[in-house]
Amino acid sequence: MNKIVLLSILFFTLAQFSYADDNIVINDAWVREVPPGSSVSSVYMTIENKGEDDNLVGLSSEVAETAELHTSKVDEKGVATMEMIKVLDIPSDNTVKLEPGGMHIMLIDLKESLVGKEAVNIKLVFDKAGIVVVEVPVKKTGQMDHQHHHHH
Amino acid sequence: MKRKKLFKVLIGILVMIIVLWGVILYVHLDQNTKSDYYGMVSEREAPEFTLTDQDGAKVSLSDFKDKVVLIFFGYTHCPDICPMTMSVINNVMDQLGDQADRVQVVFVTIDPERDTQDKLKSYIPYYNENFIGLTGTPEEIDKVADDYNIFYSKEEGESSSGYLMGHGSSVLLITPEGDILLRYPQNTMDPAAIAGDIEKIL
Repeated sequence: MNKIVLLSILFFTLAQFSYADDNIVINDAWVREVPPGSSVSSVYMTIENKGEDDNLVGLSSEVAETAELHTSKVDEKGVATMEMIKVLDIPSDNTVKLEPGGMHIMLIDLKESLVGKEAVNIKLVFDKAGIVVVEVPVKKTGQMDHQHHHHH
Repeated sequence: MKRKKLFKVLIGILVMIIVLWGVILYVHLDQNTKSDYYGMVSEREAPEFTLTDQDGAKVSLSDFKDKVVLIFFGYTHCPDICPMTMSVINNVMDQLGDQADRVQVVFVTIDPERDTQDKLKSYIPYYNENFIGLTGTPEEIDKVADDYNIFYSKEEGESSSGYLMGHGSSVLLITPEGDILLRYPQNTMDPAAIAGDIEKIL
């Protein structure tokens, strides 16, 4: 009897603890391996929100001084620029895609080279879901890019 | 009665406009499909330039007279578009196999302030040892970008990255004869198709 009580307490504690991860589902995450000495890189992923309307409000990583959400834009003249997104709304039951040429997490002032590294941790902070830490594999540039291009 | 006639005339005019529009559109489309290339045709002579490469050597466009040159403008502090373009071009080179020897890839920085020769030395060969990265004084870069109609500007925003650059992001293809023949904007960067264009030219 005691065992059952203990187990159910444990179960509910764990369930509470993993609450954030249940509502926010991260898929297809990868970080771009960049040449040694590079100060910046970018992280791509899909973020699915299975919970209530939420906002991505903060980012950080142990390998960079700063992490920010940016979006690349190319205008009709072919001029590419980037815009910073301070708060990203992710409505309930929505998935946002961070992909090459679009939205990405920009890692700024890398503290170490990504070359040869297996993975890095990225911490995402949501208004409602709280902190979500994802282990993101490092991929060599070229393995992932061309499949994202649109064909005309 | 008069109104009905006017109405008929108006309908007639409308029909004529639509037909004419259709013909113009058809002719226009027909012309577009006449290009055998995947890239956008933009025939004009490629302006000569001389800049400094990652090893400190002076490099001019005329050094590559018998080669196809793929040239694009970017900066090493660029996290998304530039590495993406580098990897697409690298993929093009892979697809070309032996013919890649007859193609020279040239990356010109539009951020000479931060992209020194040393910076390019650690950046360019990582992607491909045969790629050339060029830098110069801000005035030299300004002139080349201007000659090639490449817009660029420093964007000092809220980002902690110091500053970002806005820049023309198309890849230009220069023929062995020294003409800018094709242009690849960011949304037309299929490596196999670009390799196909190069094979046609070589």
